[in-house]
Amino acid sequence: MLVTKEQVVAALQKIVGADKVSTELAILQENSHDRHMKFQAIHGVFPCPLPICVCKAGCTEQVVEVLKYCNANLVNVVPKTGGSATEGGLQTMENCIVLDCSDMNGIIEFNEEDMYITCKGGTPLIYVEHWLQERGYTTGHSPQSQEFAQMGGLVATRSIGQFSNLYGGIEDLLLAVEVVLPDGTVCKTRIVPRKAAGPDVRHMIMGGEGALGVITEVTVKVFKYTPSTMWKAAYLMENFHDGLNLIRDIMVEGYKPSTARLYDVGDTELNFGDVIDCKGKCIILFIAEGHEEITQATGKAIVQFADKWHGERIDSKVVDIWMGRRNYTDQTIADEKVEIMETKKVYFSTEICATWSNIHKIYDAVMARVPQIIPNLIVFGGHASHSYLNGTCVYFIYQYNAYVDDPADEIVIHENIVQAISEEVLRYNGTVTHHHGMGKLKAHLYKEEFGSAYKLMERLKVALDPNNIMNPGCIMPADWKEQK
Amino acid sequence: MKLLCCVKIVGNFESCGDCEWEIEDNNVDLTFYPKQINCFDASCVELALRRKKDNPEDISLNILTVSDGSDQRFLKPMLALGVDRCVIIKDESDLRFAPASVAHQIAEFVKREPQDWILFGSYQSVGQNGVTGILTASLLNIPCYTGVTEFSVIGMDLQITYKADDAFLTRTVSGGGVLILDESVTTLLRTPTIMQVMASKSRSIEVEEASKNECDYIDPVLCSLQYEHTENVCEMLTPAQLAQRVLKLCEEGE
Repeated sequence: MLVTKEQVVAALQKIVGADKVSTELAILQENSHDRHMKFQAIHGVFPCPLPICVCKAGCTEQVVEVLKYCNANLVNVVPKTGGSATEGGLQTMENCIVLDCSDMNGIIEFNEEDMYITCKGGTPLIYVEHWLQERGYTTGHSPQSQEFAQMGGLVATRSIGQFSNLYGGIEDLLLAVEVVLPDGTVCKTRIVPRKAAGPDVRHMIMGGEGALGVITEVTVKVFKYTPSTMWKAAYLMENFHDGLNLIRDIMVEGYKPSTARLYDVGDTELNFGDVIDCKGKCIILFIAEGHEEITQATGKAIVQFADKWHGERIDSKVVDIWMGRRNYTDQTIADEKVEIMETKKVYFSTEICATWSNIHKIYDAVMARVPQIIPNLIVFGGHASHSYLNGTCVYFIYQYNAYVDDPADEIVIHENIVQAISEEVLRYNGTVTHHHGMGKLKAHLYKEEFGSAYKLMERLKVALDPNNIMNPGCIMPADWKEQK
Repeated sequence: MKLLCCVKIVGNFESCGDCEWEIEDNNVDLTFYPKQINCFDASCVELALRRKKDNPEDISLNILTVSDGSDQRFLKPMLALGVDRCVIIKDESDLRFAPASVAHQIAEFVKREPQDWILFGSYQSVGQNGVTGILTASLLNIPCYTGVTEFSVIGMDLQITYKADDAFLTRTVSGGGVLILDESVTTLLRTPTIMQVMASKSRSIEVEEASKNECDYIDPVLCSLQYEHTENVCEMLTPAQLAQRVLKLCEEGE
């Protein structure tokens, strides 16, 4: 860094206003981590170097000036919006600022004829969703973090929602994006349904996790919202593999229920054991959306496939129960804090993806390995919820007793679990992250994850962020150049 | 020493949010409502588990519930946690407001299989009556200690800490009895690890049929379930009216 911390603060205050730059200790601590370090934060421990300040930008022009200054003076920047990241992507480092874009909040345009909505990067998804639903539309994007996530961050992490089987992930929903590069260059793509003018540059930015620039504007598709014609069903499956095969049949035959959500025995018990007797089986939930002709046809096909795989149909009220408690809310976060403080039980998930031929092997390998090597594991299970023609995503969920003297040591337990899962996944050619991002937690695996294409990622990073100020350590290790 | 924790599986209504209860034939369908071990009973089990951990050879810890038998999955984790036995007294009658019947079944079990100390939580979300433990003690003709906040084992005796008015007192008790935990005790029940669950896979919940013997006490009869109705009733009185009412009360008292 070429300037002092005091100079950084003064310069940023000139750009965004003194009241938008905070050096208050509690604010710095709160912004030094994401949910990867929730255990530590709850115990008042903040292992990451605190940022110099948290700077709230109110518009693209301010983001430009902030990045220009930081780039010129080699000040690291961690862009942030909703803060719901889980893989350490928001962990701060020495000589950095947190560039908080949550004040960039607002709907810019809703185009009903062309079926899209444009929002500023800090607009909460839940606000956009409610706004659209009042008008009979939906983004179709419903991640578990819906109550907290903001549009820019959703694009930065290549996020996905719980109804993705129908609507797709953010890569399918994104029409256009505006990004500010580290040198202050503003790049805005145009709104067209499709184009073949060279590589799709949106994909250079989508998933950048703040390591390539700051997303300041997002345009996503909107869909008709038809909750009254929803078709729902729930089944008990003998085992997880049968459930995966059932989902494969549905996807391969071209049906697109918005939700085909399969829980293994452990995850079934965790999520539904308090409401029904799951009989030691796996629950699978289905929702079909759209016009009634479509939902009924989809439902009819699902019933046939479920019969083929010997699914036992149960009351679809189970689907309503899931719908009612599927998302994080202020209350669940508060309850989580209490549980962690009082019981030291910590819950995380690691989401991976693989082709159909590999996902069964990955599931078996991970289920065999992790419980054997991690003591104090209370729950270990998985569910499959985002499926494709070629494969599916499996979340491995785990809860363990973090009996540690120093709260900072809990990270080791979590990282050991993630490492074990990642090794098995990579062994069978899966990806170590389906939609949570690499963050800093998995950055050390980038070469294995990208395969030989890791060079593309490195060159992209050099091209867009030659001074390496943007969220160093995210996606790739901070010292990736030295490792070469 | 044999400890018997009596537990009940109840609805987890705090997790339900606002719900519209539908009353039909004096019943509310709880089919898909989340359930859990009554948290106060769970506190009991946790305290007892700690005592067992302190004295694994000397303490036998058993769990007992009186129910229709559909709640085994809530009891299995306790087997994984190391309790010696989990027993369900299967009774399919309406036990929601039947403290006498429940106490009777517990007492009959204890007569068949003597226990040293019988532990109860203080409160429950459905049919809260506060008398099941007391009736059990009465049926067994054993002492009953209420307001207990902690207990420890000393040989065959217990040292209990209990609440009396606003004070916490400690005394050593012997000869067996019933302990009813104070409602302030909200110790969370630990969760078994996967290893513990796997190790206990072969263990099973014991189910016994309810005793047909007559109960010495009679349960209240449920007349009707109604939606709770609250209203503030306020009557404005002048000082003179108030004085007249007080005077009248005094005259009636004489």
